[in-house]
Amino acid sequence: MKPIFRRSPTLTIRLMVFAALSVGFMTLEHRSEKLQLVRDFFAQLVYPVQYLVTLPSQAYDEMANVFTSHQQLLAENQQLRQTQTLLESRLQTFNSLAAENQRLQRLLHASRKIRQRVLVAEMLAVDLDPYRQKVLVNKGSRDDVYVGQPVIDAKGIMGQITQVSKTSATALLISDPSHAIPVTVVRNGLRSIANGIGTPNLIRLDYIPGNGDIEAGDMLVSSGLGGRFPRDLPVATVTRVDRKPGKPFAQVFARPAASLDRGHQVLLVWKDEPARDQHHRPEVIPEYPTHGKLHWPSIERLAAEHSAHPLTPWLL
Amino acid sequence: MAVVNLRNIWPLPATLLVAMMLTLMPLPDWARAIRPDWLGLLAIFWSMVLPRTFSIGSAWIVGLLLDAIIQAPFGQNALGLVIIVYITSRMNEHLLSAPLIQQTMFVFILLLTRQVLTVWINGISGHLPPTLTLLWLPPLLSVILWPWLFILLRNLARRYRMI
Repeated sequence: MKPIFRRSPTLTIRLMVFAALSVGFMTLEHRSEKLQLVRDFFAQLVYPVQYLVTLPSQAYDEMANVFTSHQQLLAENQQLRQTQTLLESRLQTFNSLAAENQRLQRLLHASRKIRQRVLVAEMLAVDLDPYRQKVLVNKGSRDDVYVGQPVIDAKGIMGQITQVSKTSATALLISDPSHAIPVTVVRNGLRSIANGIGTPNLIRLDYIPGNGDIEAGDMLVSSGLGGRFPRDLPVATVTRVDRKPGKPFAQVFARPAASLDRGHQVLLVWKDEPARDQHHRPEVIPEYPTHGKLHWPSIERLAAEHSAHPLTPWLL
Repeated sequence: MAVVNLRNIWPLPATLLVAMMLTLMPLPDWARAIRPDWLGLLAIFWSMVLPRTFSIGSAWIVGLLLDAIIQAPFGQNALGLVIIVYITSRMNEHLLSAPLIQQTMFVFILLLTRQVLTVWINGISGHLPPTLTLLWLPPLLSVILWPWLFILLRNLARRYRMI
C-alpha cells in the first residue's frame, strides 16, 4: 500500500475546493455587498491583533510624553497659545461672515446646511495591504460611524470610510486608484474629478479639456456634487499640467492637501441625515416659490438650528 | 512526523500570530515595498514539517485572517497560501531531504508564485503598483531569511517534540 497515492487525490480535491472558495469570495466581494457580514466578523476577530501591534508605538509616545522637558512644554504651550489667538481672531470675522451668508442664502431660499457633528478619531499605526491606500481608525459602529462617511484632517479631505466593525473602521484614502472625488478649482469654479493613482502624494484630475483654464498652484476644493463629501473642503493643489496637442484632455496632477500618512488624528464628519428631513420636505422643491404661503419647513428648522448652536464655519 | 498530540501544538499558532503582527508592523515608506512575506515563509515551513497538521484547510483559514487583518480583498492571501501549501505538501519528501540551498531556491520560486498571483489579482481590480520591475525583490529578500528561519523553527519544533 502506497500512502502517497491514497493521500494525493484528496489533497488535490481540497486544493480545488479552497481555491474555488477563495476566488468566489473575491468575486462576490468585488461585485456585491453580500460578504459584508463575514468580513465584519473577521475584522472583529482580528482587531485585538491590530491593536496589539500599535502598542509599542503608543508606549513610545507615552514615554516621549513623560520625558519631555519643562522647557519644551513651555515653548510648545506658548506656540499653541499664539496659534489659538490667531485662529480666534480669524474666527471672529468668520462668524459675522457666516451669519451674513446664512441670511443671504435664506433670502435665496437655498437650504444649504451647516454640518456640525464631528468626531476625533485616531489612525492606528499599522500597515495594511501595500497595494491599497487604506488606513485603520479606532472608531467603529459603536460611535455611529457609517460606510461612506467622509474623513478629514486639519488640512483637507483624506478619504471615506469603506468598512465598519464595532470598534474600528477602515478608510479608503483619496489616493487609492479606486477612489474618485468631485472637485472644483477655487479660482474659477472649473469642475473635475480627482482620481487616486496609488501613491500617497499625487492624485490625477480627469476630463479637463486641453484648453481648460487650470494651472500649477490652483487650489482644488470638494464640489459636494456626489453628495458624499461636504462642499468647499480643500482636497489638493495642482502641481503639474501637461497639455499635449492632439489629445482631447490635459493631464493634470495635484498634491493632496491632507497628510495621508499614518499615525495621527483625523476627523469623522456626519452630515444631516436626509431621512430625518424627508417627512417635512415637499416632493419637488420649487426653485422660486411665488404663490401662497411658503411651504418650506426646512428653513424654519434651519433657523431653529441656527439659534440652538453657535455657528461653526467649516473652513478655519 | 508522527501525529502530533495537541499539548505540543502551540508553537504553530504562536509563530503564525507573530508573523501576522510582523506583517502589520508599521515600516517607513521605503521599506514597505520590501517587507518579507512572513506568513508565506511560515506556511511553507509548517506544511513541510507537519503536513498532516498544517495543510490546505488551515492555510486557507490563516489566509482569510490575514486578508481581514491587512484589509486585502477577501480571499487573496487565502488563495496564495493554499496554492503554495499544496505544492509544498506534494513535494514534501523531496524538500525535507534536499540540501538547504536547493530547498531555499525552491522556496524562492514558491514565494515568487505567490507574489505574481497577488499582483495579478490586484491588477484585475485596478490596483497595479506603479512599476513592476521590482516584483522579484520582496520574494528574494524573504528567501534570504529562509535558512535561518528554517533552522530556528526546526529547533523549536524539535524542542517541543512536534517532529
